[in-house]
Amino acid sequence: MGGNDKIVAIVKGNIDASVKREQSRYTLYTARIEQQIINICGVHLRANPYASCIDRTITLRELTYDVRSLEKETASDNTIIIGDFNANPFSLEMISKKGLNAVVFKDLIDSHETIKEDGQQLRRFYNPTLRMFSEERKQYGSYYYGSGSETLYWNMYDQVVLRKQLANALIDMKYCKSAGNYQLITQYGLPKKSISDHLPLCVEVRL
Amino acid sequence: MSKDLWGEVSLDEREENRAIDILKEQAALIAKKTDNYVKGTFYKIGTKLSGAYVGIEAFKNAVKSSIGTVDYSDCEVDLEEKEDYNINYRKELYSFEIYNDEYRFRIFNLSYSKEYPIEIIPDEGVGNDISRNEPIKINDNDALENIVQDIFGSKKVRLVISRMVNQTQERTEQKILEFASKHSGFTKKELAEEMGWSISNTTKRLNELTEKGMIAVKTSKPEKKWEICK
Repeated sequence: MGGNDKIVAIVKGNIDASVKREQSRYTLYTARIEQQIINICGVHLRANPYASCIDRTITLRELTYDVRSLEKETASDNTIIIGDFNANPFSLEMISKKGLNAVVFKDLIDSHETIKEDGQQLRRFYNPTLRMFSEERKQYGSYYYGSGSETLYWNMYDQVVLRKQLANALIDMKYCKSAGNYQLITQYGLPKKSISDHLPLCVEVRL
Repeated sequence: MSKDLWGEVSLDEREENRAIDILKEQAALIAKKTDNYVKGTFYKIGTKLSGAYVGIEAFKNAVKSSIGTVDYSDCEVDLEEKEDYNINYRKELYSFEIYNDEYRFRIFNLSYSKEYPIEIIPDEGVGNDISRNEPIKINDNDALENIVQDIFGSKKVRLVISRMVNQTQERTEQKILEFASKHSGFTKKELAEEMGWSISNTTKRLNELTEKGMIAVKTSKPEKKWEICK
C-alpha cells in the first residue's frame, strides 16, 4: 500500500492474507490458516550507526502497541513478529519492558505472560533464540561483523518472537546456509555478500 | 535595593495552543475530501511525563506519604488549592492516522503539552520526503499548520491515500455487486440500509457503478430499482 517499502510478504495462493497496517519499519498482516487467524508482523529496524538502541526501543514500543490493537481487532493471540531487528536477543530494546518486552526463557512466559510496569500489565513475547541456536547446531548468527575491539563477531539480528499461545507451536528455526543448490556462505562460513550480508532465517511453526 | 533580575515582563495574552483542535479538524476533513474512502483519526495514545513534572510529582508524593498531609502554614504564600503550573508542560502522546475498513497508516505522532513548544515525530518515510526526520519542534499554531501542510503534501502520504482510495473503491464495488447478485431490483434505500451508508453516499456509489456498466436501472417507476448487469 506504499506505507512500507522494506518488507514484502509472499503468501501461498490458498491462504487468505491481508495487510492491516504499514509503518516505515514494520508491517502488520493477518492470515487465515485452517480456521485460525494469525497476526504476523514483519520488521526491519534501523541499524547502527543510523539509529541507537533508544531509537529502536521507541519503534518497538510503537510496534507492540499496534500489535496489541491488531490482536484486539482479530480477537487472536496467535502473533509472530519476525525480521531484522538489528539487535541481539539480549539487547536492551528487545528485553526492555518499554521496548519489545521479549523474554528468552520459556519458563518465564509460561508462568507469567504479563508483567506490571508503570501501573500497566504488559504482555510479553517469547524469544526462542537460546533454545534453538547453539554451537552444537553450528548456528551462530545471521550477521557477521569482525571489526572493532568490542565485537561479538556473530550477531543474531534476524529473529522471531512469539506470543505464549504459539510458543509450543514452534518446531524449528535456523539460519539457512544454502538454498537449493546455492551456497549462501563462503568457504569460511561467512554470509556471501554477493547474495546478502545476512543469512535468511527459516522458522517452522505448526498450528 | 538589589538589582531587578526579572527583565521585561510581558502582560500580553499568550496565543492559546490550538494544536489538538486543529489536528482533530484535519482528521475529520480527509473523509470529506475522499468521499469517505479514507478516514482520519487523531487520538491520545499515552502520557509521557516531562522530567520536571516527574520530579515535582515524586516530591509531593514522597512528602505526603511520609507525613500524611502537607502543612503549608509556614509558607508566606498559601499554596493550598493552587494547581502547579507545571501541569501545562506535561507531555501527552497523540497519533494522527488514516484508515479504511482494512488498513491503517500512522502519518505522525505528536508530543503535546498545553504550552508550546510541542513536537511532531513524522513517519520515517514521510520525514525523508520533507527532509525533516528528527522530532520537529513547533512553537506556535502557525508553525504547526505549516509543517502539517508539508507532511500532508508529502509523496508518501499522497501515495498511501491514493492506494487506500483504490482499495476501498474495489471493496465497495464488490460489496455492492454481491448485494445486487442476491437482490434483483433493489432500491437505493435498501442498499443504504444494508451498507449503513447515507443516501447521498449510496447515490454516489450507484452512479459510479452505473457509469462503469456494472449495474443498471431495472425500473424507474414507481421507484427506481437497480440490478446487476449480466
